[in-house]
Amino acid sequence: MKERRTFLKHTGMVLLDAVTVRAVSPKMSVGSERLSQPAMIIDVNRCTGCNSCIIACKEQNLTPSGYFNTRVEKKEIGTYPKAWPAYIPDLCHQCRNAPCITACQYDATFILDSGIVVTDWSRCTGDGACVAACPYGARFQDANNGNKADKCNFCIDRLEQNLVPACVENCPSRARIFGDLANPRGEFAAYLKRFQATQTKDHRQERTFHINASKS
Amino acid sequence: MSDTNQTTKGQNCNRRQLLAGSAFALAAAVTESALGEEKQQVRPPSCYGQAAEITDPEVRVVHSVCLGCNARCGNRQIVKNGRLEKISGNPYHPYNSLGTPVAYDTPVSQTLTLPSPVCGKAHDAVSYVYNERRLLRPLKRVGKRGEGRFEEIKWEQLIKEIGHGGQLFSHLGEEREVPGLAACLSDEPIDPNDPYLGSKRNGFTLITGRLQSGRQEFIDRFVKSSVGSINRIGHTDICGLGFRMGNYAMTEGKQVELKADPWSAEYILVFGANIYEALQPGINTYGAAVAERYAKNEIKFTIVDPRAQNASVHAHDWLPVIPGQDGALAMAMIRWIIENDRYNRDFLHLPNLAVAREKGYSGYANATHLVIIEENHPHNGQFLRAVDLKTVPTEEEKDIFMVLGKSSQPVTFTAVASAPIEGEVEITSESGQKIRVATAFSLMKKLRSVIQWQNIRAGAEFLKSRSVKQPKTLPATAPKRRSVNTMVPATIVTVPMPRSPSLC
Repeated sequence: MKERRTFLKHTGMVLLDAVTVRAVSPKMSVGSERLSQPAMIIDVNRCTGCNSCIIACKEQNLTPSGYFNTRVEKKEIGTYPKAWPAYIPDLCHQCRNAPCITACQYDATFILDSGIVVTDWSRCTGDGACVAACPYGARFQDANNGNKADKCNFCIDRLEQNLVPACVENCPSRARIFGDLANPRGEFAAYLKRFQATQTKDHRQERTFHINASKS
Repeated sequence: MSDTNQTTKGQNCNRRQLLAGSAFALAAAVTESALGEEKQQVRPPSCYGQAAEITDPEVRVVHSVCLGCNARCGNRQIVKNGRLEKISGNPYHPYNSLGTPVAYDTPVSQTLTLPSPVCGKAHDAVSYVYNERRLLRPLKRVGKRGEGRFEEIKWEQLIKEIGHGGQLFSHLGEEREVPGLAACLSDEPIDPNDPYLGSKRNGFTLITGRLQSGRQEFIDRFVKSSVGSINRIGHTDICGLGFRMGNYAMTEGKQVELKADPWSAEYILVFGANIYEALQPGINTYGAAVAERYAKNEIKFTIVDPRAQNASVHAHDWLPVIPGQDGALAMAMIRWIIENDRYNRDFLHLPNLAVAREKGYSGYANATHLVIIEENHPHNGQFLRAVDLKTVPTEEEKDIFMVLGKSSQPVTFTAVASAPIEGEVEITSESGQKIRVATAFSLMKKLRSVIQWQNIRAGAEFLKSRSVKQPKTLPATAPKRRSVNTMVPATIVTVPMPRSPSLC
């Protein structure tokens, strides 16, 4: 398993480098049109709490035991007998004004043209400053890989292959709706409209949106 | 552009075509999937897991069925060099794609790229298979009981010790004689004074989990054919048996797998069914369909369960019923409905399916059907049938129910378009036998036994605590027990759920 993980991280790095180059060099930025501005809308009213996304993500990204790129937060609302659970899928919000980017002294974490926040492990020292800075608890240090910081990058290697992120693909009730902010279409567009109508202020200009529970 | 990337049910798809699309088309295809024409379920083009693994010559793709829970959704396993690497859904299986599987004759090579979600339990099966704590060899206790110390023993030793027994723990200073299976291999009675217990072979009991296909035959061969015991016990009686027997009684034995239709129902009263966890046809179909429709405000449901199960997340209400009191709650609801005159009187008066269909109903109720309440009658407590009235009955008359006709005479349930739902009369058979009968609805209305009444009170109190209007007439003390030992509810005969073949 370890060999495979190393291999994948290797591949990940190669891909990441390619994306980085594309983001930096205007000549190659044409390629980034393919990715455009990916975003995810999570409708918690569709989430059944089955945890498929969590495990699909682990299978895809091989995160260390006990750490997750995406998770389903479970809450208990109300008091017995007027009580119910709440399931809130969450992951990195890919903030444009990302606190993790500011926190990193080594410029190891930065934002691509596509709006995806990535971490370059060749620069990451594993000091954990970004982990502490994230308001969503979306980051962690990978003990299997020199404590370097890891987090969700919308399965950037899958996006390169024109595949949706693993969590999106594996959600049985389609609670995660993936689309392009620059060209919103279909259900994604409808959801985006709905989300923007309820939005007061998006100070971090995030790429992960939640449609909140209609039950209260 | 997205058109070329969409595949529909049963339509062939070309992987190269799928992968050639741009991210735009990809996103569009995904997001439009739920907005397309309802009958044309559009699938997002995607590739299972790592595309590279699918072209890897060391990888085998195995289609199977998940046993993470008893819903048994289909799964697709990626096996590399004999090791199970990943599990995803099986797009051919009706439980994985919200009830719209790909056509069964679609070549596998064309479906490898189709996503087909399964829940977390299915994905996690890899961890069960390779769990370091999974028992793969027999272990024998080497410490005191409860210490948790065991050693590996050989299969031969295990078989010998279980078969013959003996002082199996003498090495720990225990002189206890452990009986072996051989002690059961005798045709002597267990107790000569109680021949119903059978031979000593029945002293061997095997309690198993789910008797999935193949497992039952294998276990029976050992327990019944080899040892000769009748005691092979499954777990169904504490699982789905109540649900199935309820359906069996309700449909007069025609159907045991009735469930609310997740695609069409506007309201579901969920009694002890884990629709977001394990209920067939599975969370990936039943749960997902309910959740999707809940998000669109198309469905409401109430959970009746001691536990605030996963589905309480979206439930209109959660009724934390006391374990074992589900029936009391249901009876209290029926009582409230009757006493507050909230039942569909016109519907209940329809005695058979033909007239019910004419009136636009898909089923009919047996509220008008007569029940024998004659203590000494051999069919006391059962429905009155034509056969009970005839001196020389025909075979068909065994299945013909009776209702009250004009002048309180019994007529066959198909002979009239409407019949009274209330009434208790004495009728006379051809042979002159007097039989006391009452309509099923009357009996339901008159349920008064102490146990039933206490249960109903408990349920009513419960309803009261939920701010539901209470029945008007609740006596302070339980009335005297009556001799009516029948409990034939006025039930509605419904049609089976159309889209989900159930396997249990």
